[in-house]
Amino acid sequence: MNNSEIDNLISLLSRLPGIGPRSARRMALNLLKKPESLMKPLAESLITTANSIVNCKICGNLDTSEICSVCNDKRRDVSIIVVIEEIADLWALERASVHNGMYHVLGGTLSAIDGVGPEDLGINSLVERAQGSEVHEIILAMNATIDGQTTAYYITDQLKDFSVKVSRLAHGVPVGGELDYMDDGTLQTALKSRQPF
Amino acid sequence: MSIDGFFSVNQHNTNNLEDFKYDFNRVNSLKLKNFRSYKDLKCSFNGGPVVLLGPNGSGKTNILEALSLLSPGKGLRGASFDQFRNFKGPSEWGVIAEVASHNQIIKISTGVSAGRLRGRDVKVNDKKVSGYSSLPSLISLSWVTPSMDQIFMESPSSRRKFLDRMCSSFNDNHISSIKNYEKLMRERNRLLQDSFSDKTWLDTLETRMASEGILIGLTRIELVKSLNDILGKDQNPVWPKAFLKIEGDVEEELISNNSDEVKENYSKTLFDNRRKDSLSGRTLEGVHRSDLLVSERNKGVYANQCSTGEQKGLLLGLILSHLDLIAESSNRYPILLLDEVIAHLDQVRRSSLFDQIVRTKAQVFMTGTDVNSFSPIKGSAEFFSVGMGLLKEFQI
Repeated sequence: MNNSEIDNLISLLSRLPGIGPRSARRMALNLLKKPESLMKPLAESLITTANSIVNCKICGNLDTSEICSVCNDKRRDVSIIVVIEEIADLWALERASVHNGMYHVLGGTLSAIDGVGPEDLGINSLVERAQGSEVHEIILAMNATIDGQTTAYYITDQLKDFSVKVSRLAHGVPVGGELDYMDDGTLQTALKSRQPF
Repeated sequence: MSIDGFFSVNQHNTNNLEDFKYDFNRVNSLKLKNFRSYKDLKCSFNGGPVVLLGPNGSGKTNILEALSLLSPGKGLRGASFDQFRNFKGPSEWGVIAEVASHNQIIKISTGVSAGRLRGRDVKVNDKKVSGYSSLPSLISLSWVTPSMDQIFMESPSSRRKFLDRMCSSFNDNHISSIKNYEKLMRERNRLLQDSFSDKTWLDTLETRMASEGILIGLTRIELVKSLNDILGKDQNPVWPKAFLKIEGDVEEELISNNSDEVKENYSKTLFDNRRKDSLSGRTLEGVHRSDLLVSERNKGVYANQCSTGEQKGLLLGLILSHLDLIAESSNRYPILLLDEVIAHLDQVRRSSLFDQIVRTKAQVFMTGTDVNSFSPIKGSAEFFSVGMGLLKEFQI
């Protein structure tokens, strides 16, 4: 292996989120020190995964089959779909075991500046799914960012002609949060979205 | 809150029990790393007025600029982030301050690390915070610089920024609303460039722009009304009295109409203007076009028609009234940065300003070249000589 190959490896590693050039160099050195126990198994695993993983045709999740294990699970409630921005959000909800229904991964948020329009996200397929007779509720679980909320408003508008109920996640005081430490915006939203005790 | 923390926060001028009802924003210490003319500066302040003295180009304004970066934005010079670094050093720079706020000591640090191309990082108590819209809730700053002497003659955008900065001390969410509004507007402008093919997307952006715009307009109206009330009551004959008015369709409509109605009209205006906005490449109407009109209350003439001295007086009177307003509305005294202001005031106004500074007990940082100009507050202020990248305290 000559230096250009090492440079290429470092350059590829540094393209991963959260990895800068310094971390990439350390990772590359670590891999090079353990070619048999780490580098080759990792390379094989990367190739196998790249060849076998596909996006689920229904929800956009990642899986080895065209219909993911979540969509294939007959025990899940098909009447509720949680819409999320990224697969990481699906994993977060699954880790928490708080939702036994279905998911729909958009793959991002609307952003005219970044050239991401409705056709680049899974919005059309969500509208198609919402027309299915078995779907009763769509929960919009987008991030509370300006792009996330714009996308949520857009989807709500797209679904307004269907009989499906559209809801969104609550905004306000997090579990275990102390009011003294909340910013004004969070407190204001929490007070507005108060619920009967 | 620890007892130690409480006393260290209020160490300056705490002989009056009334003072304890106020949250005095104070910078207790400041560290500058590779910032402008300072390679590595550490200094501490006792919470009272601070006078920075030195010849031109010695680095006095750099200290004020560093302090101004504890609030959102580009600081009091409006410089870009790559200009803050010391050009003899690496590309990183940092401003670290220990600040008394809400009767607690908070460490606020901001700066740019190597290789970062846009924006600056902000940390509160060593924890990175996203954006800097949370800063106004922790520290409130106001400033007057020589370049602001022209504010009444300049374009509306500089007065609008000045108004919004005053609003950010008044309403902690104001900066967030402006950032949201601007982002939505950029998105809309981009969509309009693409022949607005997706009407629903545009509707969504316009509705949300109208919601954020209404919040911005309401805060501006409330601030202007409160400032006018304070300026109307002010009996001090030294400063010319300003009367403020916002020139902007949305704000004018909000004064006499229900905000839901105005919001609907706002969305409709944006909808109706799509063709025009598309051709011009920008949004032609909205709160981002409003102007702050300032007139001299007694003469009834606009500030831009007043003499240079009167304009300066109007501006300073306005800043001092804003200080009182924030103290009255939120029990907080913001920090005031006055760059080369004292030298340009006559004896009467100078005395009045010093009286007000000592009376309010706000922490005020002032720069100047002549020590004699500051002799009336020699018993109340800390004096530092500035030069060679250092600050040296001295007694007068």
